[in-house]
Amino acid sequence: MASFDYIKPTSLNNLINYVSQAKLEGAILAGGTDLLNKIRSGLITKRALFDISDLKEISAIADEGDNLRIGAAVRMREIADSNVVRDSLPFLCMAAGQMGSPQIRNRATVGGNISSASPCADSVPPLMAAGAKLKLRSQDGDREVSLENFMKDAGQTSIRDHEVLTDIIVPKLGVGCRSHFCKVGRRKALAISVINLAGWLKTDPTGVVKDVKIVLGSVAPTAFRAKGAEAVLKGTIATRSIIQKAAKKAAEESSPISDIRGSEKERRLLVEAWTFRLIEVLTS
Amino acid sequence: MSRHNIVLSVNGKRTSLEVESDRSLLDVIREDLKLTGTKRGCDNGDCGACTVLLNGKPVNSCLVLAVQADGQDVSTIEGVALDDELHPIQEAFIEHGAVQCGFCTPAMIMTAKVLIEETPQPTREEIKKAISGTLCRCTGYVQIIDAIQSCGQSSK
Repeated sequence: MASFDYIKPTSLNNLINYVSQAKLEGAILAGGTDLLNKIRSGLITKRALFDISDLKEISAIADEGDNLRIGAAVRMREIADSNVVRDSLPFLCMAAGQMGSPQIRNRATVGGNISSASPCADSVPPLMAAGAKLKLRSQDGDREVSLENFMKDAGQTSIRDHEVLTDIIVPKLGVGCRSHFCKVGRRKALAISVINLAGWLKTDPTGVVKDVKIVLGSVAPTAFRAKGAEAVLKGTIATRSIIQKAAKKAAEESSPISDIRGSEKERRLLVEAWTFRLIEVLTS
Repeated sequence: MSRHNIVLSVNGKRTSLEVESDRSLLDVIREDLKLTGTKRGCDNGDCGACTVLLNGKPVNSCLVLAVQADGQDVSTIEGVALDDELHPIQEAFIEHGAVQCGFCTPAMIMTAKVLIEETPQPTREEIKKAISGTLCRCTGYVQIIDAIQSCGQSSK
């Protein structure tokens, strides 16, 4: 394993300066639960790691009225334990509490989970379904991009090599919205998702679906909105047969691969079954 | 590779070390401090055998760089027994047959200790969730859960 220098920037500006200089030869070390494995296995090589552990500017969950502002360095455990996340984005709370393991959640950060751009990242489906936007900062200033547009491909985001992800701005789910997250793995913990999915839904007083967002993960190069499935549900009262139709559509919209965790065929079946269950929960 | 002088608290004892940037906390605990109670299972965060408490929270020490422990509190299994007596959790593990090969035991005990401090009478579901990050290949987990639950009940 080629080694790296360890640097601990003292402030966000200090970090940005380092990142600007190092560009692709440097990497941000947050929880390290993914990065250190990749470095040790030789998958990636970096000359320097910048530890963001104590950067207060990006370590808080802030309630900003209509939105939550979640600092990129916030640990998954903090998100799972947060009352304001539980109340305003229940499905994000669920996802954060199921990712990895307790030990991993005590270190892993939401910024790292997004930036590693694994198709299986657990925080991405609920954040995408909620319409999260990312704040990126560089010496040139700030940039905002939707999470949907940020995720480009498996392992790839649209971050520029002199930029730092600082915040995730998530609109709170409104009153009357129900949300849910499902993680399907080969076991209940310490499992990389075979499929994962998140959704929220709101009905009008007569039970007609007013708005719905469903995001599927692990079944395409990035998590994505199952817009076909959403369209099946919108404007209807979700009967069993409509939910079945939506679930089938979701499976059709997916492009899973076969890998050590499951075959393409299995994944498609799982998408159909679990989208059905997700919508059942959201409409029950 | 850079070198760093760090000062941390290990089981309550102030400890000064010089560490290389790429060494893990697990490496340093076992090799430099000779505290071999903490085990190296997989070295990539998948098994939990290397679990220690960092500022009171269970972490995989294989995934913490030693240099990141500068200024922090680290607790290992060696710090659990009280002087000459085993901790009640350790006694419970023995009584309930929760130790077979013993490789997961330090991690299980560190996790259980934190759980009982935070949730004095945990349910079986809470116990399962708390230990979900540490694999046991011997016991099938039941005796471990029984042992932890018995500690909860007795700390009334």
